[in-house]
Amino acid sequence: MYRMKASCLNKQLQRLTLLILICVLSLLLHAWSLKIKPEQALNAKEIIKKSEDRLRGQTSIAELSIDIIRPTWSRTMKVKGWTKGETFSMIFITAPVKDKGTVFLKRHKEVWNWLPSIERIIKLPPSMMTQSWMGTDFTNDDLVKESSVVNDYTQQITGEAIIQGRKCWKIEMIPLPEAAVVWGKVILWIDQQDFLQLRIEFMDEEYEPVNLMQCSDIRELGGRMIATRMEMMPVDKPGNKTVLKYQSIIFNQPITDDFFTTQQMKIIK
Amino acid sequence: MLIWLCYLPIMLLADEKKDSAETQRLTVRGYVKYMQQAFFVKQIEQLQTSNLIHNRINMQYEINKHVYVRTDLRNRIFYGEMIRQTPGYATMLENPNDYTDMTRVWYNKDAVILHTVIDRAYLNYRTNKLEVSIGRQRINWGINTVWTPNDIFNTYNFFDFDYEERPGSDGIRIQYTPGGFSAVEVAYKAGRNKEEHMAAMLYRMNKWNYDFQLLGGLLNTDAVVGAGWAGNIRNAGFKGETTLLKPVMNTENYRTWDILSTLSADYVFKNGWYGSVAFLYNSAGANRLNSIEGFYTTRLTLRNLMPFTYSWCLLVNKSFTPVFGANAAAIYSATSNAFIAVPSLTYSIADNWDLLLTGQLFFAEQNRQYTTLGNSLFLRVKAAF
Repeated sequence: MYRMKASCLNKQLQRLTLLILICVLSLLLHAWSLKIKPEQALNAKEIIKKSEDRLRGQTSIAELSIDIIRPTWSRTMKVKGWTKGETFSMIFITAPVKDKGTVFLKRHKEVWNWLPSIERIIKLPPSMMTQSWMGTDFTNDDLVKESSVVNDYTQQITGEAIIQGRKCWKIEMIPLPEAAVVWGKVILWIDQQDFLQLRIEFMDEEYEPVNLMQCSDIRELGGRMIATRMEMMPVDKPGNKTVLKYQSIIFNQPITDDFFTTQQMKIIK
Repeated sequence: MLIWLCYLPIMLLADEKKDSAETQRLTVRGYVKYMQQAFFVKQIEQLQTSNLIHNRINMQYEINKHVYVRTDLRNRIFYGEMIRQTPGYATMLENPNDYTDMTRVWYNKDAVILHTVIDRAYLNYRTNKLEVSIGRQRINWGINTVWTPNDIFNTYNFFDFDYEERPGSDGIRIQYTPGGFSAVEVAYKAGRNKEEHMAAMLYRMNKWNYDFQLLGGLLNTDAVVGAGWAGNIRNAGFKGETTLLKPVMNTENYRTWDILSTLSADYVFKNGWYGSVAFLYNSAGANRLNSIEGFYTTRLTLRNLMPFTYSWCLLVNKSFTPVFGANAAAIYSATSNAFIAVPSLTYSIADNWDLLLTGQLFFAEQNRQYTTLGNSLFLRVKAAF
């Protein structure tokens, strides 16, 4: 029995960061999607901070698919996620069918997992939240610590480029000496019209590229222009990537705090 | 078959309503598994094997937004020399304690058994705060992941890993949830005679970032009280459960309270390794391990959750790739230096196909000799639908 649970844990480990993923990415999307009028005088920190400031106090309901692609195989997962601010999130797995109905709930620091096959809620250790998501090419630092881009790095506009026909700022971020971050340098390309992050390069301390994130399929979803497809590729592993695609997203629909409870985990669909 | 017949009118009804833009009311899901088991004690020449083809069908039909009917059944075909060499194998699959008999042996000849059991069959009514379930259902009050003394209605059998859903209980459960995290549950399980009834109440709440629960009731012939929690110390999970039992019926021999208590902690390390340590105290532990048959009984009671007074379990788990993982459990008791190793490898063949290779290796001291009591290996393929 416990081995069954152990294998569940295996999956939990892989999936849990979905919580973080959904929470952060949908919030990011939200931030990106806010139509900020181009202002000439914005500096790099302000460009990023403008997004960050809009992360709080909002809700999202999103449906997305995650494709893990490797040279010899690929796996697809589909989830539905509800978020409210940075405090609450709920993830419902809709595919593959073997995992359908599995739910994760995060409330402040507490995390629960509903396993429909054994009809039980299992509370998970908070350290699972700091776990990088093994299954994808997203690392924990890409996700959880996005909000640290304002505080843990210095930002500088170093140029402009056209990506997918959109004029972008190129912003270089170097971590502050005392910052506990993985990257040695991060370069972002942010679209000047809709503030969409279209390309991000993550580099190690020798400034060698490690991961590349590309966002595309810009279209209106949930009433806003957003990049509905995100691709993360480890630079040294050709053929490996993780693709995240939004099928739907609803912004700012009121969700009460009571929605994010263990009771709801068993009911939501 | 019977169950399909029961569903037929419902399905036909659902079919008729398709035009009226009804959402999908009937959901049918499940899996098919094939598992090969090999067992030997010392000499590999004495290897015995058995095979199991196992199909589970879970059906749920929503009558309206408040009411649904759920029926799950498992069909199994056992065959192989272990079946031939174990007299009464089919009888072992029965559960004489169930109030209603929902098992059927369709075929039992030439070391082949075809067996069906309905392990869920209930009607569920739910409103915002109230939920009532009537029929055969799973009442699951456990908190921990290794040993669950609070799971009084259906004690986990450790080594029966292939039955993750667990048997159901024939009874009634009422859950009242005034707030999202606090709830009161009352459950009754019908028995065939007055010594087999179970009735208990549970209260749960969340406070200081901890889940707490308290329970009490009557468990067959025992009075039972228990408590449990799930929380964390810094970033490690920290859980505990205690259950006390005392015979109150047929007390020919005076027996004091028996205590089962477990503590566990788990943690995920930065490199992706998951580790968990659990400890179980069982005052009713017989502290004997003459054979491993006890581990394979179909129904455990709380008092024989583990045969030892003190038991430890260490569990580690790691996903090497998104499709390949390993985990291992080691259970140890100072009694007879009993040691049980349970290594496993899991591989995802495709989105809904899984492969599992696992073993259960039992060792203990017997007659002043450290010896192996039995080794089982299992290879399982599972396809979900």
